Amino acid sequence: MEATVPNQRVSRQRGVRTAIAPHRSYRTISLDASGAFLTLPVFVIVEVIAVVLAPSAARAMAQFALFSAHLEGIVVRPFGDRFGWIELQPMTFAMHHDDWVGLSLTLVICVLTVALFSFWQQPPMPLRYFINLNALVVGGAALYILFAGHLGYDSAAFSQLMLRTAVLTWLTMPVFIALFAALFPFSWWERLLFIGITVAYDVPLSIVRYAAFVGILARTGPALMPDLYLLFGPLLDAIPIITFFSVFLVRAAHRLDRNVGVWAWM
Amino acid sequence: MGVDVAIAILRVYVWFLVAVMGVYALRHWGFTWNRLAMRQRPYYQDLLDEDLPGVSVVVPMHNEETVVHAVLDALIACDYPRDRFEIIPIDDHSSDDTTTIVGAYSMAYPFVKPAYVLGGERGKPAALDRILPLAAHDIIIVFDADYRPGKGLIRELVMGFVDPEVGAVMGRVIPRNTNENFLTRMQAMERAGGYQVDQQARYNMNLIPQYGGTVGGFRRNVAMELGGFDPQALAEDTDLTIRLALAGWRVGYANRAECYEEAPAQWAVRFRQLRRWSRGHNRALGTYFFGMFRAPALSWQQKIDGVLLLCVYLVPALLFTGFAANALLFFSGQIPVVPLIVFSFFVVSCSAFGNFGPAFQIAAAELLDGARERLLLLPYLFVLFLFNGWAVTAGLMDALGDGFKGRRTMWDRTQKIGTPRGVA
Repeated sequence: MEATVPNQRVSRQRGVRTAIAPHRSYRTISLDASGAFLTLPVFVIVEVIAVVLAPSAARAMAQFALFSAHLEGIVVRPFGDRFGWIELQPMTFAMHHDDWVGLSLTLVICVLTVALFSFWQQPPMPLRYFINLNALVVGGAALYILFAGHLGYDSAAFSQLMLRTAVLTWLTMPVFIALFAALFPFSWWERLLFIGITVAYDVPLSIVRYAAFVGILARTGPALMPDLYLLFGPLLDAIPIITFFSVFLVRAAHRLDRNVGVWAWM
Repeated sequence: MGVDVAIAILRVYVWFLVAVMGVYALRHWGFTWNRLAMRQRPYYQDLLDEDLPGVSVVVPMHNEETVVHAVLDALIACDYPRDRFEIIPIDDHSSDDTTTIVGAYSMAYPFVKPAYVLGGERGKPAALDRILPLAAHDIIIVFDADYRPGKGLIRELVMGFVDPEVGAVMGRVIPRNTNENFLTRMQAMERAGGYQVDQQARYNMNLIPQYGGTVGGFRRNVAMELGGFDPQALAEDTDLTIRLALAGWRVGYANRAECYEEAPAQWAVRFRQLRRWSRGHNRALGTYFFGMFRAPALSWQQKIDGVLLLCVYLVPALLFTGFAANALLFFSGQIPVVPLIVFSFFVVSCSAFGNFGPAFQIAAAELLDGARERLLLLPYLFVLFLFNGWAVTAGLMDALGDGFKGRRTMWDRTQKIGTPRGVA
């Protein structure tokens, strides 16, 4: 039996509460496909905005990195890169390069780190595994450079990769967020805000991160490059999706709690 | 030339993994939609005037002196008619006070009929296999020793067997120590996603809900006809679920039949538990993978669901190999950007993937449960990715080692703390 909101209102006027919230095991939400379909135009709007604003955001990303590199005294040389309809501005930057002694030292430190956090049981396991994974990636890169002489990406290629990744992330992200949003009882403006704010948040994140990566690599060298990209690149972009999702869900949960009629018996 | 071929293979592999993740993501998206928006399939517990069948409640125990009182007290207090009910605590090679405590209960309550396993192999499957022929009734309900069944739980679970097609039933497991620490909170969320959404949706869609080895039961004669329990199986629940499905039996899921358990509160304990589950589950994958395609009793939807269910403990290992492939591609300057982005989104949003479900599934479960504060913990699920992934991968390695070396497995009991008697 499905309680309706008007019935509930009448009941309240009579001082009677007929809409009893079902036990959690019997609950469903009175969702219909229209809510999910509403996500589609919202997604299209955000996607169009992302497409239109991506060139400006990419330009801001390059400009901020150039600005911060100048502040830090890093020698940079920008160059043009056409990526679809966007004119990107990657750059070559002076990067510290270790000789074989420095690389061997990096390798030894990574091996010791892995050994330490494999045997030292005190820190929580997820933290130990995360540190070990970073050490493995950095150590692997150092070993690769030691044998191959260099990584597949130099500073210019890395800069180009970062900019292209950022643009593709801004364009891909709304698809995932829309899939999340389609499932839940959000209003149209909540959907718009959720999808929009997550993409909007990712732009400054990408800008600051890119400048930080340039600064870090200029001082430490290419052995850190794969670690930064693989563990603090797109992986980091995905976390705000879940964070904003949880915040919007709490709002929806409050609304559901206030309106018992929304709960349907199975 | 050789390097180019290797790079091409790695790129294809990364795309393949993205496709695998996509299939699982769609599967769980469908489950979540089904649970939130579609008509739900009720369980049988409303058939209250049905003549109740006899039931043997089995509680395997190995050194459970800290928890044995609680589970036996709870079972004794249940409302099932005493003339159709027996409790069989299986004392499986205990070296602590479990034997004495169980003995005292059997003196006080005639329907408590303990069984003592003193020799042979230790472990839940071995104990169950030896006790099955001794049970007085055809319906067997199993509880682990750290569980606290409610008063009406046995009745609710047993009602599923009024359907002659049902070979096993399963209730919902909820950690009772949810607020103990971060780990137990995360497990409560994973559990919620797994039961409130995943199991119920599979039941709704007539797929293959899983019998979970505790807070559930099965028909003894059917289990014995299917060969009983393999003492070497570490996931006897998955094993029985798949054998029942292949033989055309159904598993009923009772979402309302809730039971509280003690979730591991230490990382190392949880790691061992996950590793054991993964080891057993992946052994079942090796045993039943091809049989699933050939099973005449299953519809094509059930076959697909069965295969995905069997492969679920393979996914974290695949994700790790995908990460390694991406690292190698990066070293060689050939990383494919779009699959990496998609891969990263999957890793973060579906970090509980290997076992229980992606973030949106867990969110749906918490929403239905009314646990709105816990929704804010969703982003932290990502913390579990490496931990779950490594534990499950270690279990997969164990299973592969067992297969190649013909190694015998040893049951690893999950350590329980329990609470003193009288403290709820």
